[in-house]
Amino acid sequence: MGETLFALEDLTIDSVRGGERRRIVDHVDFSVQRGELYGLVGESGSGKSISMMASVGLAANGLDVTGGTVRFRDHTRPAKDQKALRGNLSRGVSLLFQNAKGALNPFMRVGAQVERVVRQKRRNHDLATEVDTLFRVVGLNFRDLGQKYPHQISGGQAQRVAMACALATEPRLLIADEPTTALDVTTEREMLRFLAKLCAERDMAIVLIAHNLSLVSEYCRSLSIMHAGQVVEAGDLRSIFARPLHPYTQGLINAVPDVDSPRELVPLIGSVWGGPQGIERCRFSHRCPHARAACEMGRPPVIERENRAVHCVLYEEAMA
Amino acid sequence: MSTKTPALEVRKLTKLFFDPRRPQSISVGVRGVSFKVERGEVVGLIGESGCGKTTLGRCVVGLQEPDDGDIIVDGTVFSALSGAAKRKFRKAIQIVFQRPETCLNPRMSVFTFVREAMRNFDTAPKGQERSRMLELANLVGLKEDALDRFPHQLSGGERQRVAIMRALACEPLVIVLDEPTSALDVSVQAQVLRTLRDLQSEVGTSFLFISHDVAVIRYICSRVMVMYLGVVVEEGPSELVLSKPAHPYTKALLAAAPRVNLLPDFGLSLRGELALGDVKPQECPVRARCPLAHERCHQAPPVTELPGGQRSACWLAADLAADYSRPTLDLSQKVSL
Repeated sequence: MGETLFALEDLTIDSVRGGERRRIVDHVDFSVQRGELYGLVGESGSGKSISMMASVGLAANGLDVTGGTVRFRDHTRPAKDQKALRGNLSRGVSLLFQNAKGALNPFMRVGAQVERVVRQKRRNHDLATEVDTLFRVVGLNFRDLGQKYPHQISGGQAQRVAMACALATEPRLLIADEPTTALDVTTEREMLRFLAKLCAERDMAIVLIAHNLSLVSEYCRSLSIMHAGQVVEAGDLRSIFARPLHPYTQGLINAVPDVDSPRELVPLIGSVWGGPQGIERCRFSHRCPHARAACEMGRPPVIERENRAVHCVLYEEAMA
Repeated sequence: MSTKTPALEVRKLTKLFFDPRRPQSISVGVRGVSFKVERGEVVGLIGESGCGKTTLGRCVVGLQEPDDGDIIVDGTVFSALSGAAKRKFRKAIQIVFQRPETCLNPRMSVFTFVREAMRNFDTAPKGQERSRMLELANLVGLKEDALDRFPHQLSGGERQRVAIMRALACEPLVIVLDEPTSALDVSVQAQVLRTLRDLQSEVGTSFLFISHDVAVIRYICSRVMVMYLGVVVEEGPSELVLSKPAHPYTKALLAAAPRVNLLPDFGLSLRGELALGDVKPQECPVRARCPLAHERCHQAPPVTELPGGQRSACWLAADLAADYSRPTLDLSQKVSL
């Protein structure tokens, strides 16, 4: 086991809108090892992006971070202190967003944008070579693309430029928020391979946020699956895929059509936030085929089994 | 009309977009595509963005005027009609877009919105609109109370169902579905796909299903066409094409599709991205990115007919179809507790 680079402990976030409080991230807990590609999966609205943004102090307006701690390298900070957490961005965390074209400044040549990041981070450096190297690392040619504006390049290229900006700070942790959703399938695969390669070569950990289970399945070693602000299953990816235990994980796997065999789809019923949102209960019970009274009786127990932790009462009896 | 005539036939459809800033590079769009959609058939159209699949869909429903070629709906040349005759014929072919929120009217309730389509083509007598609407809502899996809601009160999946319902209200022969599920979450996508498949067996409307997701196409379509830079590079029964592809591009698409299994990385991958500057007319459009490209590919390859109705535009088609072997995952083991 490597050393832990980044960890969220009991992160809890409420949304406050018009005096109404809703718990949208509920005691999220996971840790990422050095140089690891870690998956964070869930449907939209399950709180994956919000948790990660809050961990670098970028919780949106109207969100109230009520508890938990964020550990990065050798510092542990309370999640409430968003301002201090923002410092993580200059201490080795970088961000990569879904919509790369939106993340780039439309009025600036892409070469200049990368250069700006390099200049902010390091002084008295050979800027031109640095930028050139960064372009090469992400698989682009500075001479071809450096003078272009974001609208003149393709989506895949834009994502690579955003990547060059993110790498300019030599991060230890890259938070990649659905980096391939806007890309074509063939480009998507290339991008993921590239991320996996970077991870291995640069001793950089990546948290890959995705709504598509199959996407993370090939490149991550461990993952967390989130539903309605709660982690439902987390741990070793191979074990989870070989035998998903939580009904939500099973549902997600059954809901995705398979390329290699036309099997029947079993859609998940209901929606992420469609159920009762009490704090001390399982929030998946309204969509769960195995729901029982115990689901409402309290926070689901965390059962450690087969290299993973599953948050579900179903496995409690089996343990006893 | 006899039932033998295909619901939709497209002959040599061409629609090209010339880019004046890059006079050297090849124009994008659709170049000389022909195909047929039989009654009650679901035909899939796959390809990357920029390959012309959406343009093809838009030309088929008449949203774009093709440069050349004919669109024949139920034996009548749709593209030659004009005026009232054309208007009457539009009923026969309907479209569902990728993003339902942009095609619904925010100021109309679902009922008014769908009723407009019904009235436009007189598909339901005045008194029976409500009952017909309930029938349709039932078909697409909408609850009755959703009929009086407005688009902002519906979820993404429900909105897409409304769009499908509107298309159905016209009682068309063919519905063009342009990436109907790619804006939806996985669980909602599964619901909509299930609905579409059930619907298809109940109503018997033909679908032209446009998507970039190979798995979705495999799930829903009986026949599939693979498009690259405006031409169909491979077509055939989806079972065959997606298990024994006979074109490097199809192989690469399949290899790139994300999978929920633990197989090692395998197969072909294309080089780089779709770059128009690298493609010359008269040669194989995939050549610039194809890992198997060789001298002969400077000439456009002929379409090779393979057994089982599979057709592939590649010099190596026969060999490729023969040696596609990959371990298959045992899915008899159901996921269970």
